Amino acid sequence: MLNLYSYDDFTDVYSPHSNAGSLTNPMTMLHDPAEQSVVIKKVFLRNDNANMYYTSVVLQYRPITTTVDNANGWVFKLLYQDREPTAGEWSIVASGNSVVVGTIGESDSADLDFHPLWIRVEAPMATPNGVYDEPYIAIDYDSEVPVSG
Amino acid sequence: MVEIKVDTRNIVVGGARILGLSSNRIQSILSSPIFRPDIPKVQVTSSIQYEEGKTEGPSKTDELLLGVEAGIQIANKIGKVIKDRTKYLKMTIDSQKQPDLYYGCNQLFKNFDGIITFEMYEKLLIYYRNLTAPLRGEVNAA
Repeated sequence: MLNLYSYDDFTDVYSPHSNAGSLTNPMTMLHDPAEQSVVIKKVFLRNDNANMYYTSVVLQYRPITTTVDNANGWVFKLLYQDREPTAGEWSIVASGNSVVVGTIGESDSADLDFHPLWIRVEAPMATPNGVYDEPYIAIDYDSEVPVSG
Repeated sequence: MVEIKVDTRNIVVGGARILGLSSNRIQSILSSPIFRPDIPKVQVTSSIQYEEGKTEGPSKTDELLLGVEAGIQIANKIGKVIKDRTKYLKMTIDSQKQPDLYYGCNQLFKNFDGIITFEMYEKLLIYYRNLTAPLRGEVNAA
């Protein structure tokens, strides 16, 4: 199955994030309310199933509500690339954007690599202390196909 | 079209910037079995000087992230931030507020005067990692 992983440089371990609102291991961003808080995080998209490949993979923060679409000051952006995006690259990305990944794997072999995904979340100034769990990152795909090899 | 929903969480808390902790680290600490009320509590610093002449006091996040293991994580992350940004680190250990940590440093470092430099911090980190390995469930393979 496809999932997003975080890499812990202290333990040198990749850990998969929880799904579907179970919140047992959510991807967590920490914000300081004293100023506009920008958190940029590198995570990894990965297929852990050696028998499958995936087509038309797309990533997006959801649900598209007043939180994700920036109407109340929060910003949620994604970029799928190896190196950390520059400020200029982030500036042309809209909050709630979708990222087209394409196919993960090939018809005769699964792709089990960790593919970097950059996340940028901005919390507006003076956001009350608290835990905000509503947005999730959607991994969409058209089909999960058995590899022929 | 199939949709997989990956959970995310945004924690808004005062003082996080001062510590330079990653959100992933915070989550790891908070979800770790080691983060238990029965583990002896130690705050790793009473103040953090991360730029020459500029000192920050304890933050709300310090209070949140108590415990020996959390202290290691904080020190580790601070060290990396400092190393990357300023190559400079001094942590002040208050003998009144943190008598156990002060005593330990006094045993470890000759002529300890309450200030931990970057080099000392690295030694302290190794010491604490070894000390708390059993608490983290790490077993010496030998």
